[in-house]
Amino acid sequence: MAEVVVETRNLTKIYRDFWGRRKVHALKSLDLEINQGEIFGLLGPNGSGKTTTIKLLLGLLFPSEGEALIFGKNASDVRRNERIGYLPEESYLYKFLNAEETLDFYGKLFHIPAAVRRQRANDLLEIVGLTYAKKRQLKEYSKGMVRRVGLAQALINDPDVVILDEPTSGLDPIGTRDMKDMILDLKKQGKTVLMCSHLLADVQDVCDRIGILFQGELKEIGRVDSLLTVKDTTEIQTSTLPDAAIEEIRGVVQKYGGEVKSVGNTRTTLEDLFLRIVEESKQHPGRRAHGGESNGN
Amino acid sequence: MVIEENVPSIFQWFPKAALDWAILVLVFFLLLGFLGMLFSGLRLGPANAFKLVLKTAGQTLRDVFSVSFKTVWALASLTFKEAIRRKIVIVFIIFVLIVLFAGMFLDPTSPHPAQLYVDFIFGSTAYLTIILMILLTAFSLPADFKNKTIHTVVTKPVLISEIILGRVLGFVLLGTMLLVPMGLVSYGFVIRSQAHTHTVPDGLTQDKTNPALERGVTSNEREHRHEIVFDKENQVVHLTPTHDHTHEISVREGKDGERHFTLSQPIDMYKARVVQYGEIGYLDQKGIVSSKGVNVGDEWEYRSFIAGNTDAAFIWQFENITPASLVDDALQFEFTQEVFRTHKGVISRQIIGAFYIRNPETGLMLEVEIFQSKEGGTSVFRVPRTINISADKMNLKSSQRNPNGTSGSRASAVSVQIARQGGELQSYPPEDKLNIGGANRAEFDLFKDFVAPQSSMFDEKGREIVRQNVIEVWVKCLERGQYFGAAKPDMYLRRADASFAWNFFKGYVGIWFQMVMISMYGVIFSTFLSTPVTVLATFFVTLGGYFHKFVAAMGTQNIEGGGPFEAAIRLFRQDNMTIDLDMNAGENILAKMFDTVFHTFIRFLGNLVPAFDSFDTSAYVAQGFNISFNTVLINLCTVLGYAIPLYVLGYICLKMREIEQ
Ligand SMILES: Nc1ncnc2c1ncn2[C@@H]1O[C@H](COP(=O)(O)OP(=O)(O)OP(=O)(O)O)[C@@H](O)[C@H]1O
Ligand SMILES: [Mg+2]
Repeated sequence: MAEVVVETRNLTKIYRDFWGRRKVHALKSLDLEINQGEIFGLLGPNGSGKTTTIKLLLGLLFPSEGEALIFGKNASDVRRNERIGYLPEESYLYKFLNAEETLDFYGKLFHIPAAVRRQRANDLLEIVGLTYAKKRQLKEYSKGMVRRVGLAQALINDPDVVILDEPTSGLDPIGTRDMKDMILDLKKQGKTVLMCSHLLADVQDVCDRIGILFQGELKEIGRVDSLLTVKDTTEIQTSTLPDAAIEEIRGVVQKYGGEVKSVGNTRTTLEDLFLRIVEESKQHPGRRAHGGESNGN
Repeated sequence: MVIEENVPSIFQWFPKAALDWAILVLVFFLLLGFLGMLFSGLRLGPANAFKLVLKTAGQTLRDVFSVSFKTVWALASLTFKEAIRRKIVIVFIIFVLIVLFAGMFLDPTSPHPAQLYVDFIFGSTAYLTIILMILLTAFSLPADFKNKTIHTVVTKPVLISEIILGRVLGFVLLGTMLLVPMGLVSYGFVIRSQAHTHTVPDGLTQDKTNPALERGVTSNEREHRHEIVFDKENQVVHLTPTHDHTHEISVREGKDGERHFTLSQPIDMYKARVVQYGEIGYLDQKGIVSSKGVNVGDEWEYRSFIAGNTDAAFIWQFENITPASLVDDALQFEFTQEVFRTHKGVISRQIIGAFYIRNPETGLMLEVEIFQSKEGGTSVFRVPRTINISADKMNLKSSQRNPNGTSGSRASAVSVQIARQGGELQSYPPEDKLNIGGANRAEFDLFKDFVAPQSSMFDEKGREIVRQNVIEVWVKCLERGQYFGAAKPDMYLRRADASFAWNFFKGYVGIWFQMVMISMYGVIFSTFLSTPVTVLATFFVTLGGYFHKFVAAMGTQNIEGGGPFEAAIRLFRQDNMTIDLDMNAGENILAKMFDTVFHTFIRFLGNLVPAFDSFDTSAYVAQGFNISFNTVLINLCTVLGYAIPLYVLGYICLKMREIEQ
């Protein structure tokens, strides 16, 4: 059993207004465990509490109840941040710095020696494809470019845990592809990744495990492959066949008492699942999944 | 007069100040902890609240001390860079423009041009820096919250305390970077603005009364002329100083016998006078020591008066008189007096007074000079180190001459001592011990004969203080029906001048202190307030800071008529404020108690705003007084005294704040 790196226990957040009156119950007793080396995806519709969860983990918000731990430590212990990389929802970077200075500044906060800092900044700029624009101030950057600097910034300290809030938002298809490759790369290096997104294809491509949040409650949690296995259907994927071949296969299926449900190109099945859960949750409020187990269902 | 007290040495000042500071800071944070407990107690219950407050206190102590300078520096450079990238340099350009145009608006006819220019330059530097700092600090942290850039910082291994320090340090660096060029430009401006020389267009003419002298007058430059007096050998005898300066003048005779005069650039215009004040006492008309002189009518008069041609006198005692106090081998006293006339006096001259020095222990007294008063002006008295009575035309006085009056009266404080010793004036050493031997001696040594190695005096509270190397200075008015008026700082010992450039720099250090304080307050307020509210809050603190003395005075109980409660009672009962409150004891105690609470509270509040008025030392520079190094050190300590608790407070505020909201 791998080591648990990120953990929430009974994590609850109620946003209050200035007078202390309750406004939003954004997160309801979330229990979650993410293991070393895992890529965990947090899914949910807008306003379901994904960003709230991440901010609680990072200490940007104070929990109303419960605990949010990374490496077993809560946010008041800033030393743990040395091993954490964070890419915020939008790129909250200093617009008056250029890309190089930005990376240098964040590098300094980790006390990385100057030579190493420069080297790593150059490497990262190369990886995110911004070497050509590294001397320009961020205020002149496009959204996607800033996003890339944001990612480079999150990796400046070679973190063990990377927390990405909607990593692909604002990126072009190539950027999205690159981002996904990078996340998989991180996994290869043995890093733990927590990301949230509503781009389901992204999550499906890279995540080992996912959790689905709806209105602040964890509705589903488990391994992507098993969650997506539909138990009463068998799927055979082949290269495109002529109609005659399909007719023949139909015959074979009927011979074994089966029924061909559909024939066509494969759909994003995660989307199905996602929509189903949201629909179900609306009809049966209260049902919830419990985190912590590494194999769902 | 800008300074009215000798600045205590840092060593005298520090222990008491440090103790006061420690108590105040302790009370403040205890109060804060108590409030914290009260509020969290409502939610968590008393036991948990107590634990929480303890935990917070522990964490605060840890985080406040374990800052990493590298991190602070990185954050400071960021703050600095931000301001630079936002074209803060424009402020400097504005400053230079102000200075360039200033000449047009400053009054050219001012009799004290140097003072006017220095005042102006310090004023504009300070206001510009202060406004800039208020705005910059108010925008910086709130913008960090608004743009959420702070999210990427606090998720790094950065302590909240480092964020606070980084901000403050960044602004202090920035302010310093602005003040240095401003200072250089100002100094150049101030010096250059007064550059001028004169010619002597009409030459010299024979003096009407003295055949050995020739007189002339210079050309009119900058609304003034100087009178010049030469002897027959073309040696300058006199050049009348005016507008706070003189010139060096030399004359060269051409082939045709015509004389060409050359005047130097103004000298003595920018001074940094080093002065030492004494303690003042008074003798009344009968020569008896009293705590005040005569009041000539104005109820709130600053100066006390002594009557002419009586035994009344002003007495100042100066301590630490050593050869280091000498300027050109003489003690130099400067005396500013007010004159109150009951009749016109002799039209052709001013009121006559006398200046004496006296050894407070032996009673030996010397009439140094009979002088004509300079109303509103300053008389200068020189006492040479070696005094030859006949050559220097001075008169020896035996102060034993009136054993029930003058002789026993050393200074106001001394009377306390005398009273304590049974009300009888002590007799002084018999005449032979004085070693003046029936005035056989003509030569006296200032230090041996007139400076007492040790003399005890009493301060205002009646505490005995033994002082070293004390000399006494007396002034009397010699005309019947006329009065001299003076206050303690009107007589001072002038020591060797310090460098004006250095004094100018110290004046800028004063602005620097104010700048540091404002950036502290700005950053602290901006941790929990929005930009406009921060601007307002910092502005009011700054304003309060300039009235610090006033607030602090409300916190002392020395105001006549008592505090607000006592005063209210007096108002209601129409009692005079100088008489004791006529009430039964209980009422009286109650009123006084309320006032004590009020005073303590005000004193506490008064200490929450910085003593801006004492940081602002520009008046010293403008009026030509040296800012003592002790003043600078004391101000530095004061700045630190505010900075430390403010820093902790800022840490707590930011730590308590949810970054997201
Ligand atoms: N600062 C805040 N004050 C009050 N309510 C907030 C605040 N931030 C978020 N919320 C509320 O909390 C809930 C969860 O918000 P959160 O940002 O976590 O959603 P999300 O899952 O990240 O959504 P998205 O996909 O749009 O990013 C929402 O109902 C939102 O309105
Ligand atoms: Mg979000």
